[in-house]
Amino acid sequence: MKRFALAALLLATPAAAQTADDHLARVRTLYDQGDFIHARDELLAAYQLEPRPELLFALGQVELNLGHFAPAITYYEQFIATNPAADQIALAQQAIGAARARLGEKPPVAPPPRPPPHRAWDRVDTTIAALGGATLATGVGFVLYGDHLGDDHTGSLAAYQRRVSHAERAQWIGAASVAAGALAIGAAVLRWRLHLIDGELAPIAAPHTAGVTWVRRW
Amino acid sequence: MVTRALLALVALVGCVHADYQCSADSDCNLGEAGRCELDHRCTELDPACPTLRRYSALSGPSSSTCFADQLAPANLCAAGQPPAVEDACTASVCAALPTCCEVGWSEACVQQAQRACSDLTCDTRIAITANKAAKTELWDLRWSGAAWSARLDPRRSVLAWLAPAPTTIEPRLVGFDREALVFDDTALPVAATHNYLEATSVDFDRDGRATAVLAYTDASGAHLEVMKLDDGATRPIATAAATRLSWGDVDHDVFPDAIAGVGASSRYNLLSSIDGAAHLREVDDRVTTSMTGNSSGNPPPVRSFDWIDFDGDHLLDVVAYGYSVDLHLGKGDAIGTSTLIRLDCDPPGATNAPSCDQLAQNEQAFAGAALAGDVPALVIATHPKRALYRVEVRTSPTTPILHPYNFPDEACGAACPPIIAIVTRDLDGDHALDVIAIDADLRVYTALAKDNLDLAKLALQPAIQLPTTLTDFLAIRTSVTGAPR
Repeated sequence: MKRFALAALLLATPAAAQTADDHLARVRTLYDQGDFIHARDELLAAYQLEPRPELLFALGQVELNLGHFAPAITYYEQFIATNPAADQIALAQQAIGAARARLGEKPPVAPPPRPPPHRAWDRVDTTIAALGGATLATGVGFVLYGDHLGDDHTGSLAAYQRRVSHAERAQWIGAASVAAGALAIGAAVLRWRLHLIDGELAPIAAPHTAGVTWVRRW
Repeated sequence: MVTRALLALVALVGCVHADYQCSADSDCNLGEAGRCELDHRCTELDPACPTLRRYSALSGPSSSTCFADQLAPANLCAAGQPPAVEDACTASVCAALPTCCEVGWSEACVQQAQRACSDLTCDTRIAITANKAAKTELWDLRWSGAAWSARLDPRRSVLAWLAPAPTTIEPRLVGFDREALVFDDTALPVAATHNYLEATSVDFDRDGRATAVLAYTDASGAHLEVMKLDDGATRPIATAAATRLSWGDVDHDVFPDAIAGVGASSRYNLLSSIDGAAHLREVDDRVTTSMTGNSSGNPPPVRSFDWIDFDGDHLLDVVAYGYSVDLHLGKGDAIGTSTLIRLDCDPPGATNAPSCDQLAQNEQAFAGAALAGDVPALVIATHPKRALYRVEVRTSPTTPILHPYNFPDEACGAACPPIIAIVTRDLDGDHALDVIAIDADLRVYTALAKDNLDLAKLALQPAIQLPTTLTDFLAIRTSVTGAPR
């Protein structure tokens, strides 16, 4: 309805005002593009050249679209003061009403910042990590023991061969233990990383919207 | 960092650094006939390897590789060392005599090196064991390259040069004294009941260790005794022949073979190396032959043996000097009679030649030495009459070509004692073998190759008179070595 009113006003502008019409032509384009700031500048320029009453209405519309409700009301009131036709006064008053209604609205309240999520290292993590560490340490011990056995050249070659075989077995057991221990420790760390205390449901508080978000940080 | 630690651990696992270090053969109890080598690693029997031995598993970087005892001799002038690895000099030697790189570095290899290697010049050292009835004198005779010197050695019996210890240069002059084999500052005990006849160097077991093979007799007969000079360990080997022990190669099985005489007889045997009990090397002494002829005055029927490639087939042939000169052109039967050229008489000739009346002229006890050269020859001395010949022997016809050496004018005249020992070595560094002849009174003569290019005018020059108080020695055993100079 407002767009229609503005168009009507602009179309009603006499073609004789060449310079003002140029501004008004750009106003149409800018308005269609939603560039209300430059549209306002063009309107003011046109009004400077030719202070037509209908330009006051158009300025009111542009300010309204810019969310500048108080200036919009002022322009509408200035338009009414020029004694336009009754239907145009009605339109202006309707626009003033809308502007005043918007002027009375409170801005939406931003939700309070959410506290950062934090992780908790619990007893289960401790148990897993401790078992893993013990297994890893045992594995390292086996590996070093095997290495030590391999360095022992005493006795005969057959005895050494048995010792080397034993050493290799010990080292593989050690390697498996180290791997298992490392996996356990890794699992504990992973569990800790995933275990977020505030992995909570956060309500979204905004006008005309409703829902929840699940916030999680990695 | 964790990743690196895990990678290091993975690298450590499965990489037990298996490098067993043995200290005795008994440590090497895996595989067959384990042996602890010089590098303290074990080997075991493996017929697929040239030396029949392979490093055992768990021997570090050598594991499961074939054992090889070849080395680059630090002293190419000394015989009795392990076979050589090929380098500029030894490659040319081994091209002529493959045995030098495959079996052992024998005196034939030294002589070939002296001829073939332009940068090799050796001094000459001759250990002399001179016998006369019950008397023995030991002389250390040396040619420095500029002068002769001689020293009476105080040891009791059998003076001989052994090869240098592995990787060293200096040969070792050994002798028996007070129930020990004595050399340098070492005295390795030997049995008092053994009557030692010979001391030789040879890589008998192909283990690369400094090894002496001694020959002795005792109440049970003749024996060889393998002695490891690094620890004095010994083991006896039964043999029928033990005198004038000389090492070469006959059967080309990579183990050195020997020739030795049988007691005081004219018989001599091939001592062929064989795999014995517990895979220790022994000798097969069943191949035997005898010299023909005889001699008055009780000289030894077998004076010495020599090894030379006489027929140019790159294989060593055997020459035996004594009552006759027996040239065996080794073709497998080693010292069999099928390839035998036998010389006797004075002047020497083939025993089947009309000029050699074996009944009237064969009373000889030849001394001799092989003279390797473009035309291989023998240098042989008659006994009891003093004469020395350069002898070219042809296989067909077998009539030898003789070139007599002229002796210097001496006061003894016709009564001068015979030559009873001959050595051939390059004395003057001209890469041609020279002749060193020693008579029964221990006078030393030389005939340099460069002074004897005209075979019609061969001549000996006096070199040195050993200051002995004895005369008319019956036998001289020589042991020759040298060192680079």
